[in-house]
Amino acid sequence: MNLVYFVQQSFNGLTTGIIYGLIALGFSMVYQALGCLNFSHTVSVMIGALLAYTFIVGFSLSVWTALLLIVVLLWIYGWAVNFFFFRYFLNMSKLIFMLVSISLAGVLQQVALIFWGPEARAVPNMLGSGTIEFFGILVPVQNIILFAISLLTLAALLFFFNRTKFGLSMRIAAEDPETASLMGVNVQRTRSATFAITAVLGGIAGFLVAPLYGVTLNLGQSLALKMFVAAVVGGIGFLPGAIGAGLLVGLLESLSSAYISSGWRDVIIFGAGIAVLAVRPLGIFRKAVTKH
Amino acid sequence: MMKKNISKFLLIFILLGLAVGVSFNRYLTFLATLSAINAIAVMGIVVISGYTGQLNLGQAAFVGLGAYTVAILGVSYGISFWIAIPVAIGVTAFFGILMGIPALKLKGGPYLALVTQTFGEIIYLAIMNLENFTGGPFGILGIEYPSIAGYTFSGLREYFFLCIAFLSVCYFLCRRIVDSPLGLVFTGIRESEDAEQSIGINTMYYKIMAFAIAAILGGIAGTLYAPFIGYISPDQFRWYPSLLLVSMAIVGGINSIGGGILGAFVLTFLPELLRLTDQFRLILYGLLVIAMLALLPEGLVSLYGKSWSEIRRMLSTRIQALRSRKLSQPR
Repeated sequence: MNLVYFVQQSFNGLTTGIIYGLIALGFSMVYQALGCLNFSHTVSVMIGALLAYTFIVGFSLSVWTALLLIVVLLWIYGWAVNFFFFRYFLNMSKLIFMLVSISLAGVLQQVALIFWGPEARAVPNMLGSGTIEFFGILVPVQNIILFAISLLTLAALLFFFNRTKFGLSMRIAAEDPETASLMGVNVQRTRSATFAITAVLGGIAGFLVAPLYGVTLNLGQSLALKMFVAAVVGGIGFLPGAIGAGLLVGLLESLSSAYISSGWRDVIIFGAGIAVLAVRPLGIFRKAVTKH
Repeated sequence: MMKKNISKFLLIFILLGLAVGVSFNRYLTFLATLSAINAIAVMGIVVISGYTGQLNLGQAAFVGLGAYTVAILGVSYGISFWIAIPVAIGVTAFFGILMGIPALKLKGGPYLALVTQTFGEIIYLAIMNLENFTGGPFGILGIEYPSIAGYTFSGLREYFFLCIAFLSVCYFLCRRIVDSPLGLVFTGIRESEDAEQSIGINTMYYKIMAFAIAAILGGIAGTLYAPFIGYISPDQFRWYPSLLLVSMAIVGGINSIGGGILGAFVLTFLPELLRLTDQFRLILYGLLVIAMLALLPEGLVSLYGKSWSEIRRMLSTRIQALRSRKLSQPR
């Protein structure tokens, strides 16, 4: 057991883990607010990554301008998806909403195929290169910046939900839409804001993941199941749980490919996910609560 | 009455299918065969999700298990199709039970979706990684058509009749199951598991049984699929086909077996009918599925036995419901 190697692998795992966490957070947030599983959530990750490529490589914009544009465009995307599709299905059965979101994901992926073409693209190491050494452990600068952006995003979200009026009204609308609407909250607006915010979270995650994984049209699909594991194992609808479980998934992924086998890595993650749910049916971070 | 309608419907349907098969269009025969195979797998989803109310997003993995059982036994060991079928049923039942066990405690919703979907992915990854045994990502080539007493079902049309025969037998058995007291227990689990437990029914046992039945139907579909296509690879059984099978069940009508079969035929033919639109094909397909889900949440089968004016009235109330902005949401 080489300790330095272990710590280094753990840190790599936490870096991908926080991205899984960000994606899972958006997925979990839709469930918390609307009780629906939005399977088209990872499409926003794909769009974020594709836009990152287009802006940085195609238009040679600066990294931060690109990030800002991605946030704005994904906000519009999230709003539009709700406006044209999701708002009609919120009162229907959850299974139908799920299938609508799955079909929509297929449609959007085809649209992206027409716009961007099928080829895989590499995004340069845009967040800075080189490594920093802490006590003999080499940490890429890229990972540190990536971690910082994720934490800043989370802090902004925390501020929004706890300190702003609209954030608070979103929380109450998630808790009880009818009472909220009696108290003067425009629930239609908070719902479209939920989709917009989660799309932005996915877009930021896509921007961050682009230099790590490369940009392909299947990016969303390959992340979808791990994100789903993180969201559900963290206790779906429980937002801090999504981040925690995302970090755990990333850690487990990196350590099992380092010490066991990269071919069986995903089997270990999914098996662990099922095992956790068999023991704790509501996820690791949540206690069973009855509503009555 | 509903029951009678649907069985009559199915009869007409199978007859139509036969007509297509007898006609000389190879392409349509191919699609009809594929639809019949899909229909068997969709029937499994109707039993587990429609009747028992347990979401199953991993059905394609069981199709894959069935297909791989036939392929490995046939290609590597030269064992005939007819012996491979009971083996495949055993294998898929075993894995179905294995999937049912962690799913028992979960009260539906996202948790069950996750367990079934990841279970399917684990089977996919296992097939991918056990390269010596399954051929890994390269798949298995050269699976032969089944033969019986010197007669080989080698042509497209002969194989179509074989699949229709299998479909009819499975349909008959499923009907027997859902109309029996066992079927009532299944519907009881969907409506209220607690109530059923309170009258002394061991719902755990029946849930596992429902998972096993669904898995077996998937496996049978797989055993027919492998010789039909002749080449199988793990990608054909990943989670996307699973979701496709669920949408077939929903589009047709998940609460009736006939509906599931109808959905399988419609969604297998639809993308081919849209082929003229070239690259917009899958976009149009997705949007059409969304529109069907919006207008007919009970499935296409809900149109059956209604007059035009009734259908028009039904659709207009549906559209009004879509336009309304009620806040209440079923939790």
